[in-house]
Amino acid sequence: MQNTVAASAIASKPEKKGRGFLHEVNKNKSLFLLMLPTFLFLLINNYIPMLGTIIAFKDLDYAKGILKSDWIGFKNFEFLFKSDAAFRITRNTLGYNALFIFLGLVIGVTFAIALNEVKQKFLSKTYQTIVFLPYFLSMIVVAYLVYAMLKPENGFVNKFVLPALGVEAMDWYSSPNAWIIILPVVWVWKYIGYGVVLYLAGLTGIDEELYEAAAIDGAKRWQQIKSITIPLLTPLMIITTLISIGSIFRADFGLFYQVTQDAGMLYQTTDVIDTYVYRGLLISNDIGMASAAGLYQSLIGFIIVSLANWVVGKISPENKLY
Amino acid sequence: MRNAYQNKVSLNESSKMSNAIINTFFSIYSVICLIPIILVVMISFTDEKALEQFGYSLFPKELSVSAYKFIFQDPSQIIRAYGITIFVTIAGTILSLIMTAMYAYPISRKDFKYKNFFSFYVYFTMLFSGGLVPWYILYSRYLHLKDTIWVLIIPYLINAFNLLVMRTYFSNNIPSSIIESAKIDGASEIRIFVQIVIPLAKPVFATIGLFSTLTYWNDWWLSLIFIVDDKKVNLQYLMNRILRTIQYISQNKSQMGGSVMDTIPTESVRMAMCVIGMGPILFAYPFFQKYFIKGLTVGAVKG
Amino acid sequence: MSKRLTGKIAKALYAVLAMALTLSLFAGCGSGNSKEGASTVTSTSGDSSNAAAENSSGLKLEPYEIKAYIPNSPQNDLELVTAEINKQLQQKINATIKINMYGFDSYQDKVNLAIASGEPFDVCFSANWMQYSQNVAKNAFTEITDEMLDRDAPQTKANVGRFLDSCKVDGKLFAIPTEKEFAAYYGLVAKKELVDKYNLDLTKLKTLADIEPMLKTVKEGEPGIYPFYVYKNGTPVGLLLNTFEMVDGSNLPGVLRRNTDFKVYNQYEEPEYKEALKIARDWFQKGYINKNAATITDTSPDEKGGKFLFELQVLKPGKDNELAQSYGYPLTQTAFPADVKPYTSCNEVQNSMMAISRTSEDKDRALMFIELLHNDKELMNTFAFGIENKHYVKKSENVVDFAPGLNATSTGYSMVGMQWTLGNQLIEYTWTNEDPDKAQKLKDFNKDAVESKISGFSFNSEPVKTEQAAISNVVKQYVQSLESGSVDIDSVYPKFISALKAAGVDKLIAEKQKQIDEWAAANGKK
Repeated sequence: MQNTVAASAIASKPEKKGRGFLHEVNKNKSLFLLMLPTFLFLLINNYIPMLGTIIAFKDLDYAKGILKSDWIGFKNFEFLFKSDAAFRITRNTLGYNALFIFLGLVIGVTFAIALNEVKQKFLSKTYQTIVFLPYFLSMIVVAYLVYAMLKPENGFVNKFVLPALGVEAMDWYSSPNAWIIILPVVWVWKYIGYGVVLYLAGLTGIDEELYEAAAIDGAKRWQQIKSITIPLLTPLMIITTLISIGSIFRADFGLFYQVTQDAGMLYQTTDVIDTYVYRGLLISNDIGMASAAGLYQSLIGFIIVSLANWVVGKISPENKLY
Repeated sequence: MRNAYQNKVSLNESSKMSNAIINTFFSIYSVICLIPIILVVMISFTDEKALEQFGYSLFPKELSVSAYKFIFQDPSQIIRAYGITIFVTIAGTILSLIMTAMYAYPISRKDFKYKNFFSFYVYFTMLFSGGLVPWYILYSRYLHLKDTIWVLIIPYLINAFNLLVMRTYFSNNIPSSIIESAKIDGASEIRIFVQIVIPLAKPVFATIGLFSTLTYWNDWWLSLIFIVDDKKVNLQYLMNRILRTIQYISQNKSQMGGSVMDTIPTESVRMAMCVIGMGPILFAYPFFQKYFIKGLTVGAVKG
Repeated sequence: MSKRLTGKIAKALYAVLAMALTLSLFAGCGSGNSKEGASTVTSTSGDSSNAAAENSSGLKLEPYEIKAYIPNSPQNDLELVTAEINKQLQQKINATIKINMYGFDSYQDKVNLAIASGEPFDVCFSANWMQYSQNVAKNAFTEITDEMLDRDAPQTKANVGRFLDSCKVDGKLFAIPTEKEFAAYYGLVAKKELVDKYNLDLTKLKTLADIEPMLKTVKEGEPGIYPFYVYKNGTPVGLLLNTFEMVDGSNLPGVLRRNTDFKVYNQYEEPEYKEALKIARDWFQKGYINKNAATITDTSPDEKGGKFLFELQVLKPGKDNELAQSYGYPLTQTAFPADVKPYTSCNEVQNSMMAISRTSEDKDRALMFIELLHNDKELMNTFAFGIENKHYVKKSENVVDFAPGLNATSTGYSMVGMQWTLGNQLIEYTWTNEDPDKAQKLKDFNKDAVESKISGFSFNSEPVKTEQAAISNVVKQYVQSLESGSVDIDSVYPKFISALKAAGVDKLIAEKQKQIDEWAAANGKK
């Protein structure tokens, strides 16, 4: 029995149309069995609560419960588009996330490859550990540290760095343009270790023989990196990028709210959808509106990632996300 | 033979020059990463009066362990919280790795017909969620997991990102020829998975294991939402509670019916809590690291 | 994968999910089974003693467990204290209690989740700054009718008196306010050491201009001291709140002028607001205000370090002493202007209340419990301070202190610093470091308070929730920066006003005006 299954898999005949899903299940029983626990888990933990998105279209009344509350159409969505902040928050959210995806990819891969090149293994390990360290700090603590650096009166930068450079002290928390740089710097500092680890694992999986063969052919190290390392890391790069693109409409709340101290004068460059929604609902705590905002972010993310996935499918089908 | 070997070594590594450049760069970058961490540690050991007077400093004028004394007044709670965090982290990581791999493997197989559908099934959960309230209702009223230790583990079992990374690793780094030949030898799918795929995928297991460990270790949110009995909260929640309280009070201070100043501890205590919260997990990193480092086995990969 | 197949799978999935949904998830949500009337109440914790107690009207009471949500950091000896409270409760109303005690880091989240998920519980702390009116609007709480009050809480009704009206929404009562000061005025708290050193006379302050010379003196004489310490919502401009009355308990546009008519103003466009902004800007530029005024979140290092002369506070008798305890040095307080009368509106009364949940299975018992908390000295003090001789000791009849060897952090149970969230502060013991006449002073203070013309009006923000969300963001963006003087008025203020307009401020003001007019007409007010 198993032999026949294996044989048919090896032969990988094109499946006859009309042979249903059940046939496939029957054929690959073990594979489906492996998947079952996680499948059920996601069904219960994720898919069933997803039906709760109807709250976004309801005027929630606790006495009536979620199901019986009145439908109010798209009213809960209005606040997202009503004010002139709509453009600002959309631009900031998309802009920063695109930048973060780009930086995460380029710096992450570069760091991983560079660390892999360090001859002294002890040093390489040490660097890796240290690069990963900031990831352990919570955003609230990062916010404290950034504040200690930038606070107007006796912050580290204003007290030591700027005077040393002969530049006048600056009020960082009312200079929106500075944050176009500060936020990505903080982001890279805190999160890059994560990507580095990810790509290091990818590097480790590359068959060493490939390099040896290339070396014998006389390929220089950077040529090897270009023609072996990068192409073999590409699937991982594509998958992480695609996944991040799906969340391009969701911002890191801690970064944009806590690290900026929610300073009003910075909103032009620091206000994102998540912070805007949070602030807008602080007073009312309206679950319907919160749900509407989440659904809106999901939908846009879904559309964008579907497009990206379609493009990837055109170029290299085997690297599609789904 | 000897010549070929030497040739290989020299070409297979970067030049001395680029090695030096890389080293210089990472030395500087390491300092940038380290300083804030050291700063946190130093603040936690700084005398409070000195902090008020001179602000944060890498070289505090007066050292003090009073912050730690303050926190460890009642060590039983912290020890218990450590216990919970460690149990949750270990059990959660193991379970999570097993479930992730079991799902990631079939959808990584190029000959698996529904791999795209089942990938999408996972990825979709990353895009859409029903929001906190329906999910909370499910866990508290139907699964009856509120205020149990399991509720600190179960919600994070599957992370779609980790799962898809693992899938990608499987499909790119496990040669399908190996699987096929095992099949011809009559090995069952389960056996192939356990005896061939898993050993070959150590680096990705280490990576996802590390991510998962950190997820569990750093989580305080589940404790906040679900735990009623203060004896069941985990370490990060215990440590984060103060920071969150300060934020909440500063937001509502002007409207509250009374003042709650007394509960706000000093800055050094807050930083000490941060140190206590992240301390032990730092040692987890090297444990995982050895699996995704090429280490000393250059040239000796395939036996 | 073929489309037909995907369709099939999707269909099957959908069926499963739909079933799960209808069968379980939300089925129980709307079923807060209310059992009105004390005579019909049934028990949920029947295993405890069967000794049926009697309530004031002589009806038999079955044993019942009251589930309460109280904001306070978790206490080690909560179980012990609960046992002690149960002894008292069982005897008096044949009830036991399950106290859910959470600090402010999670209290609001936990209660909101309990409400949203339809969890059965009986009483919880609520306040206008904690979405009280929104929760009422969404039917989270039970109406406390007059009959219920007469039946279960006559004493509290008599004590709280006119202030009960302030808690009403659309003429209905949904929560009982904590008995404490029911009025307030805005004013300044000053560091006493500096006031004495420079002989500052705080008794004649009338306008912001009167303060300026003092700021100047201290600025020159005390380097490192902030003459006017500013924090979030604690700015010089905030002193105008003695002129305006907030209509919805927030700093969103739309206020009344105190003691005048029912016209709703956008306070941010009023002349005195702009005038005050200019003064704040001037002070900021002269260095009287801390440089981080626009962003500061954690004030405790500066406050405990004694780095200021003045800061804005909402005042009541003895507020200076209360703060002095936590700052660690003497303070003195003054109203601003010095002759302003304490004022009472729903803002002052609604900042601490106890509500009864819609999901309570015995609403009468919940109210009886509140009645006891307000009038039973023994119960109230056990709740607030724990067990006598274990957590606190009596120094005299009404004065207590921590038990020997204990302090605020090492004691196993204490709500010191948080008692204002609970019951009745007037029957609490006072602490050795407090004014023993505190209760009497608070009573007098309440008696003298000038009452708001719209006491009992509650704004329903539902029709303008879209605008409210947008305006909240605009207010957060500009108000703190402007009021702290951190930004240039001439360039930023016009942007603020136009952003408010764009966010729909006119609609918000009009809605407030409409609701107030309707309320005034319905209640025969002029």
